[in-house]
Amino acid sequence: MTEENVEVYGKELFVTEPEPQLVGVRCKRCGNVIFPPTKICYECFSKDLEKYKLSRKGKIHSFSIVRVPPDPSFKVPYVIAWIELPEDVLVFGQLEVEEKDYDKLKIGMEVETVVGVIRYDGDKPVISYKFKPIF
Amino acid sequence: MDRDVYVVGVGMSKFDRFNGQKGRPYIPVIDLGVEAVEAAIQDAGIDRRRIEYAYCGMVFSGAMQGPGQLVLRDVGLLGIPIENVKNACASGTGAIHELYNDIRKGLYDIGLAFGMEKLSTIRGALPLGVGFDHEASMGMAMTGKYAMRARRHMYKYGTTIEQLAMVVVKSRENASKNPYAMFRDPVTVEDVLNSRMIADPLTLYQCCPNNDGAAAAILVSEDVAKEFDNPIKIEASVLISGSYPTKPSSGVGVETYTTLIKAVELAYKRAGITAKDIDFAEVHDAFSIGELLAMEASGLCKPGESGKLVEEGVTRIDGEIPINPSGGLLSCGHPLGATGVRQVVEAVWQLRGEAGKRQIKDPEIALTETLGGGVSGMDVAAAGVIILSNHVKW
Repeated sequence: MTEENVEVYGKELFVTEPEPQLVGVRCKRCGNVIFPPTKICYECFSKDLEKYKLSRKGKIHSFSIVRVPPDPSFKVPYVIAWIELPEDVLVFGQLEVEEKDYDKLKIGMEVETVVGVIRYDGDKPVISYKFKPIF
Repeated sequence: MDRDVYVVGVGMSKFDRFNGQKGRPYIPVIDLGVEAVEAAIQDAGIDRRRIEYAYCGMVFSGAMQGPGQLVLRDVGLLGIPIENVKNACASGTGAIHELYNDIRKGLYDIGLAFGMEKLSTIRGALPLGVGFDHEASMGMAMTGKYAMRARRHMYKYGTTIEQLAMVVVKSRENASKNPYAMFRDPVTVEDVLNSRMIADPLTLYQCCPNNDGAAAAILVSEDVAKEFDNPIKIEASVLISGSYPTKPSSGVGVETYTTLIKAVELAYKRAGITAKDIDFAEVHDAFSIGELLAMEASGLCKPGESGKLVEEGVTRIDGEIPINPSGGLLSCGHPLGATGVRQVVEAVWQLRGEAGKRQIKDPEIALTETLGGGVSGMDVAAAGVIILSNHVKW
């Protein structure tokens, strides 16, 4: 895909090189890791935060297959999930999974961070971070 | 010193889709608001000129600059302070909360709180804000949010899909006795589970309908309440906003209403009661799982036990702890701004013994809970808890 025919959502939230990885913030005072980034640490109220790359792999905390779209830009069905990352963060995102594999999804299953299509702006795919289950 | 606050008049419109389709009349939201406010004034039997202040809860008010003013213009109440409250699904609860606090603090003696909404013109799931809200931009829907809570609850506690369906069966059974509710026909567990899948494991019947309606309440100070026949006391009202997400290491996940737990604990403390004193509750069953999570957050049962209690019939009108005798959001529908006020209206009717065929036997203390919406980075946007009683002594 070239730059012209694809839109990126949340550019500041992830990197793609060398591998897809989420970028949150870490509080320099207390070590609290936050994603998506905030302007203040809600544990110790420090504003001294640094960019912080999160682990690529995590576990499914919960998930659901959405059959009725909240907005016409989402093509159903698609799968949403809360993911537990080792930095003790719960992250919301879509799962990169084919419909034939929906039955295999389970809470606790390992996933890895990838980049994929989350919705469409007209005909143009919108891409962002996603999580791919490791079957 | 803080003063006691009482509800002396309540009223509501029917909750339905008043969109002019399928044989239903078209009714503008302002007219619904007027109907509810007039009903509350009539119920109280109060001279409307005595109302000193008004709060109006509404979420999707579009281009209306002052929805509350538009209603009160047609009620003859312009010229008094009118404030519009917007706090997601807890907007109506917020209206009552603000009024309660004002009267409690002695700012004035008589006020009106009402809420209204028209959602029948919005099809499908409610928009959460693609483009300006992170989770919404990533594909979050209220349906999906509750679905993930349901799946986690089932995983952690063994709650069954049949138990979730039984919440709906009980809801319709109660609503069949409530002329103000939208869905009044009985359903079976099979009907619920065979209805269209929305966000698995939640099927269509496990999701509240987006509809239209309005509800109103008149609150007064103790001195004024003495003039009335059947005042209902507000023992406590708490409104708090959402909490930061829990850490996975805490062992507490999306199956727990962290913010509601805080709000309820504070409300019990202020009312000087415990969960055991609650005789019934009107809770935020926007989805089947919502009722179970609210029961647990309120201490009406232990975490993980709610599904079993529903199955055993404990939450029915004739059960030990009736939940949502009105039919709740699942059967009344959820016109956002109106919902929190409607819950208080139902609680007042029950506590006065005026709930007709759905009357609970001799209740004394009621709990109402409203949870507001989906905003990124927090479990809920707002939680409103109100405790009411008919313990009136003077």
